Amino acid sequence: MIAVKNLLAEKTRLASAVFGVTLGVLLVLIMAGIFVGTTRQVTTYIDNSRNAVWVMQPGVSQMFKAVSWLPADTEGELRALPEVDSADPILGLPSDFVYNGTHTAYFVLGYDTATGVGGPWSLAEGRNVDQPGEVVLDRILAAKNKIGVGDTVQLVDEDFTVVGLSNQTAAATNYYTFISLPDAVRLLRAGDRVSYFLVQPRPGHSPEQLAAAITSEIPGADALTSQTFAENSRDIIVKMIGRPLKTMIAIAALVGIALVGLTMWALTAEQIKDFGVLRALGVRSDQLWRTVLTQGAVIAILGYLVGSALAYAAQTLVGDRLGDVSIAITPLMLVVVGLGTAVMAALGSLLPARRVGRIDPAIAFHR
Amino acid sequence: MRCPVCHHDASPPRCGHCRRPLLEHAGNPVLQLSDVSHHYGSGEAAVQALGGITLSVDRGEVVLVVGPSGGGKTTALLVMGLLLTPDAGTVRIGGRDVGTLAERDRANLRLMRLGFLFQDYNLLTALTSVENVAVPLRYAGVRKSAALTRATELLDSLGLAHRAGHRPAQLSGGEKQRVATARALAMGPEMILADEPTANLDSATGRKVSEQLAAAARANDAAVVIVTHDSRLDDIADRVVHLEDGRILEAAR
Repeated sequence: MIAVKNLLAEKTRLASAVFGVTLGVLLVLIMAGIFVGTTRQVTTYIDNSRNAVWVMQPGVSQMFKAVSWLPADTEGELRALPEVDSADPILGLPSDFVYNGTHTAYFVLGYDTATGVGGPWSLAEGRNVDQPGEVVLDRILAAKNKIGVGDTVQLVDEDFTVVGLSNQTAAATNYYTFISLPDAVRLLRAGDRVSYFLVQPRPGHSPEQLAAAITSEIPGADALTSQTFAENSRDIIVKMIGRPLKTMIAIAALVGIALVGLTMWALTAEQIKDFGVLRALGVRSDQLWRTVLTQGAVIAILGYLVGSALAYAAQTLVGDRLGDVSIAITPLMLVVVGLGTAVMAALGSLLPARRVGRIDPAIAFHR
Repeated sequence: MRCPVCHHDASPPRCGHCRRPLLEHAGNPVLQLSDVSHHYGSGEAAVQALGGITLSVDRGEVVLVVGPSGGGKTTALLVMGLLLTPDAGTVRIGGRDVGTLAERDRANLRLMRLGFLFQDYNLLTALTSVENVAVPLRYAGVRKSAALTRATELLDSLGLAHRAGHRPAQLSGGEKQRVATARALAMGPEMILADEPTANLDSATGRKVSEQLAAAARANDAAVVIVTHDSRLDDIADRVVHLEDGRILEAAR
């Protein structure tokens, strides 16, 4: 009764205490959400390959830190396999997008504009490529450089006309740009080589069976399901950005504990005379411990609820707007942060509770 | 035995009706101090606060402890209230030697057998009058409904029924001290210890509050020990104890 009433009596004090916990929860959720959102987003191109089996040069297991070269005539060998329904080449290489003196790392992708396989799957504006010399730019890359449909941009060493802007094709430090396969072959000096084939299985064959068949039947080519290829690609990004982001999450958690601790300490300090009076009246230390821990729990629950709600609001607000940065808050994350908040509150309440447990009840007689 | 809170027939360890913990009935005297001494500090800097005082207080008795500042009154009150363990001597509450009790048991005795009144009232500002009175009951495990009923009855008996829902900030000094009196009486204690209860009140209000305290304590068969500078309270007391330089100079009825 006293725990809650004391909190509710001072609305400003309660609000500032809840704000402290909210800030800690928000920090951790947003950092973790960016981590998960970004690592999910980096593989949207692979995820949108319609469950294709990816065929690549042996030794290549992910898309971002390896270059795959395959002879273009591998397509014929693939189509000859009984498990194969279709095989479409794509040619892609990372490059440097230069516009008005600004440099941005991006990925040039050439695809068969007749089938559309490997091309953009969602357009924010304009149309797909259907002529040589045309390009579909990622909309975030375009927005950052103030480029619109109809503008001319330089890719590598040739000019292209922007005919469309694509959605969901930006991820941390990477933007996809789509051109026709012949343009890509010329632009990237690929000769008779391509990067990957996206292969669809015939009905009755699973992607796993197809990948195994290609690996065993086609010399000089490996195959992975899109799921495995995406996981491998995500892992490499996690290894690249995971450590700093995890460090930041850990710092956010420590800041959270410190905030809860300071909040609880200040709250307890303000009530120290009341606790002394209770001790004098005969309330036991363990009962006061419970009072302090209850206050910590109330503040932690309120802070957690507000922090989670704000993090969800941030997730919704950010949505796809930033394009290359997204926040993904998962149920697991909420459970973990919920447990973490409980630990934060317990740790943060520990010292104040210990302090209260040691109050000299004679303090009630001090004037 | 009768439960001192809900007045139903009850037997230890708890009242079956309101859940108040019950201790075996203590006989007279309620308080016995035997040759109690206490010093603050050590070595040459040591100051004697109590120099071997002996005092006995019976149920229903109102005792005033008077004397100059620094004479040992507050130290004596802290010793009687089990808030300070003296260097030497014996303290008995209800016949039980409390010298060897653990802090948890001392706290339990304070809650069950003693009530406290402070100069600054020390009401919890976040709680209403009735909630303040119910505090000791709730911490003792008394059911909420029984605790609030008891608190309401006590406030009513002290003429504060109309202030039950008010917080301390909305009360006058006299009203605050009467709420504190109700709180001190809530558990049905055997003794109430009051530290300068009238110091912050005007004379008329101080007198009224003291009379109410004495009357309520007698009605509940509780002893009252009042530490005070206020000589106008002499006539409500059964006995006046003069404490100076840590020694009892005289005890007069």
